[in-house]
Amino acid sequence: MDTGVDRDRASVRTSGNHAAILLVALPLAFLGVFYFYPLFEIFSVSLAPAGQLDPGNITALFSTGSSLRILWFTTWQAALSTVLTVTLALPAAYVFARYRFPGKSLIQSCTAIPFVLPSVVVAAAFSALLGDRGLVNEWLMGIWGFSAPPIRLDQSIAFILTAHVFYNFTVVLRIVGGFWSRLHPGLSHAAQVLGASPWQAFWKVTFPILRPGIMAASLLVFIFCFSSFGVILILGGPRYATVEVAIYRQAMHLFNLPMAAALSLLQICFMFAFMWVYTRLQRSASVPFTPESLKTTQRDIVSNTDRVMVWGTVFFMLVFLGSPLLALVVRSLSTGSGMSLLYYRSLFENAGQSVFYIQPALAIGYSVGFALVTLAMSLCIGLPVAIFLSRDRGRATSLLDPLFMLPLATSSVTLGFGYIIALDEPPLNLRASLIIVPLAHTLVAYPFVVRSILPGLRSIPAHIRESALLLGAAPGKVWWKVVAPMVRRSLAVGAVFAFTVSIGEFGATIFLARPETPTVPLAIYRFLGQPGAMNYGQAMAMSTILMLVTAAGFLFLEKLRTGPEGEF
Amino acid sequence: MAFLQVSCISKAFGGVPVLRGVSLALEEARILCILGPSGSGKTTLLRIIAGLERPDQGAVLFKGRDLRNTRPHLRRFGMMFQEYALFPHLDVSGNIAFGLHMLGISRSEVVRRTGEMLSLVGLEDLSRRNVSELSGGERQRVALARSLAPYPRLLLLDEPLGSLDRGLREKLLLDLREILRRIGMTTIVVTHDQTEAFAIADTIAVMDRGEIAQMDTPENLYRHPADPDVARFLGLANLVQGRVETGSSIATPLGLLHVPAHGHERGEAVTVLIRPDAAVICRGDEQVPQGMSMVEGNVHDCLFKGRSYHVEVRIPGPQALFFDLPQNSPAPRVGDRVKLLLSPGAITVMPG
Repeated sequence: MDTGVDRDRASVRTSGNHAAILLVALPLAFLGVFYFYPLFEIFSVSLAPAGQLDPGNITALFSTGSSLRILWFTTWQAALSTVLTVTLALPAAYVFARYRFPGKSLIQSCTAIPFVLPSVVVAAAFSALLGDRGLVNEWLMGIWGFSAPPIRLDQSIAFILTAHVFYNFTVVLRIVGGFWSRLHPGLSHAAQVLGASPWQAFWKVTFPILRPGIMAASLLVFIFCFSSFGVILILGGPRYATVEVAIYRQAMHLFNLPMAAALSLLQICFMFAFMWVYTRLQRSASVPFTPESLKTTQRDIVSNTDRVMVWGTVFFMLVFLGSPLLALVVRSLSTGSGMSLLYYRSLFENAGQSVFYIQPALAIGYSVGFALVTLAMSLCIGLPVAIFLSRDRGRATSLLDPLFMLPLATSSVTLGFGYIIALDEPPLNLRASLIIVPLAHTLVAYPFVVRSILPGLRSIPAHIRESALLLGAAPGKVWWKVVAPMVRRSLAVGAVFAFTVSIGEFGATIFLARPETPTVPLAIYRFLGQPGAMNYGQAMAMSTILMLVTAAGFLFLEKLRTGPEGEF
Repeated sequence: MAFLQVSCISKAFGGVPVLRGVSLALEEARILCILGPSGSGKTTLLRIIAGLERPDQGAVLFKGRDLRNTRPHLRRFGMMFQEYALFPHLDVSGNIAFGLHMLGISRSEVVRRTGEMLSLVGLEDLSRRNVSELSGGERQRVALARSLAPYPRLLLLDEPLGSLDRGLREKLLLDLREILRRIGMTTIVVTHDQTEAFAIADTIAVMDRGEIAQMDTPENLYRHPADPDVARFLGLANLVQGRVETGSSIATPLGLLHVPAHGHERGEAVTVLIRPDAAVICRGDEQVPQGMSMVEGNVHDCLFKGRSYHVEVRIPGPQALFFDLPQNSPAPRVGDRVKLLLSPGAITVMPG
């Protein structure tokens, strides 16, 4: 008769669950107040602007041509960006999946840098390379004596698409390449021995097996481009507006809050739908094939064809992904009178001619300050959530896991807009408070913290904790003496993630930061929008600094993630 | 003209030679087994025959025609890969029909032939099953059916039983042998397992460090290994150094062994192989029959294996010999001093 034992166990489990509820109480409260409440406000402002149900805004959204045009533009630019990205990145994915070559892992790390750069920096980099005031135009004018810039990409759709491909190239490279590298070349060989030509073998065997990976990567790129904000706002100019940009203009330029709320609602619905499809797709993407070790699937460069393919691809990637960033650096150093650090020095001098003028160095100070507060808050929210989710608690886990990840599926523009309409009256009047910016950043950043720590926590076998308990360590002690040291590295990864997310955040910050307390991305945006070589140069200098900080953070992460303790 | 002729194939990977001038010939409807330890180059040879690798030197000729410029998908050779390489996105029927679709034959013919293959390997009930849901043995059968379906002119099997567990192996080995003989398929099997090779092959080619050390029928190979390395690889461990005394006796540390030493000079240094089935225990008072040899030693270890006793006998000096004694003889006890009679038919003299 072991029912007594069973009951004991059950009571242990429930008391464990009570403690666990305490663990997630603070994160749940945070999520409720700073995520669901703003979301609810968006709903109520768009559906009932005057306190009563009034679907007028929603019907107006679909009856006026302009919002349909915005939606149509948002969709097709995202679709076209996706097709271009996949087409260009697929050959690179093949090369990275099938060949071993010197410098490969370094090149792979570097190609991921564009993806982690703040959108403002990407926009500035393309402006520095191909814009009217960019390097290429400057050279062409110098060499051929053109009187006007010969390449006119500013405010064109081509400019937007190029930046989107640049941004998302690595998404396809990593997801599809990772998939491909685990696919045994024997499958293709088997098809050839069965009479398929190499081309048939690709279409009948390799491609169908890769398809879920390609679909997942494509959808992810589509989602990123659909919710693109900074790139379109800066490179597209007033002619182009995605839903995100339209929300911003309605709210901040036209002060039409009900319209902005209706657009936000639309955006939220689309993003949730896309994310839902993506999650479904990812589940089916786990094709039941046995992953192979890289040793059997990758080969060295032997023939001249190999050489041309590998180095041609690497050359293309370095030029396409490297030149805008290089142009940014060059442009930030080239003043009217040759190369100098003039723009960098000027960031720290108070020119002060205008009352609106904010010393750029202050923006750097605010950015770092916000990022540090975000880091601390993200760890406070993310760590308990990760600890809670690391043990299987049945339905609680399967319910709370997606709930805590929901902010990932919400664009930062809708988040920022939700904050300004929700947190503007007592008891939560935070509009004038500095804390509102890190609060929004935390909401964007903590899911990354959870995702960084969770695998580390889950990989610790239960019996390690149990043996510490049996050796006399109290549960709290077990955490500090055993678990914490083992996940130190993932904690560091989460912290760096939170910091980099915060320092580059643009979409929510543009709603929330007050004019006198700008962050670096906001300052760059303002400088880019003003005429004059000095403003432009300062925008370039700040973008370069931001790029270096973000890239350094990312490369540090890569090093941490693949360090001697193994990948997680 | 041989059905398949492989002549002087050499291949190196990154400067390391894997095959050094391998030649062999195979007649139609015969089964050749390439037997060798891992790293001996046997899989590479198979891939060269299939056209998946290019040899650095040498040629593969099929019915006298050089296949140098025939790409793998046009050779019409079937190949079964070591891990089977089943297509994960197709079901059992889809996998088997793949090669038939490549032939461009009619849909009804594809269905007919697929069904025929399914019943050949006994998997009629699993035709719509996903390949990830199959057991190891079922996968092996699907892979075999898939490679046989498009009427290959030659079948290449790379470790066909390699990834299966032991009990399953023996059963599938017999099935495989039965199927191949029934349809009269010309086949090359690569394996590292001598039992597998003995059971399935008409001819065995033993490969060692990129060369064919010996090629012969299983019986001849077992009875007369060409050199000590081949003998050791076949699991024959009782090798003794000796010197030819007369035409029918060799002096060894075990004493004088009576065995015909045809083709060896008097005084020549030789290696003598005593097969494990050569010995019977001899009671102390028995006469040594004419032509038999007798050795004496202590039983160091004895393992009852059901059909036989596997005994390790230590002869004075460091020499240890291993024998399988019939189980109906009296059980040898560890520590016993025994006399063993060796029959000359189970002793082979090799150079060196």
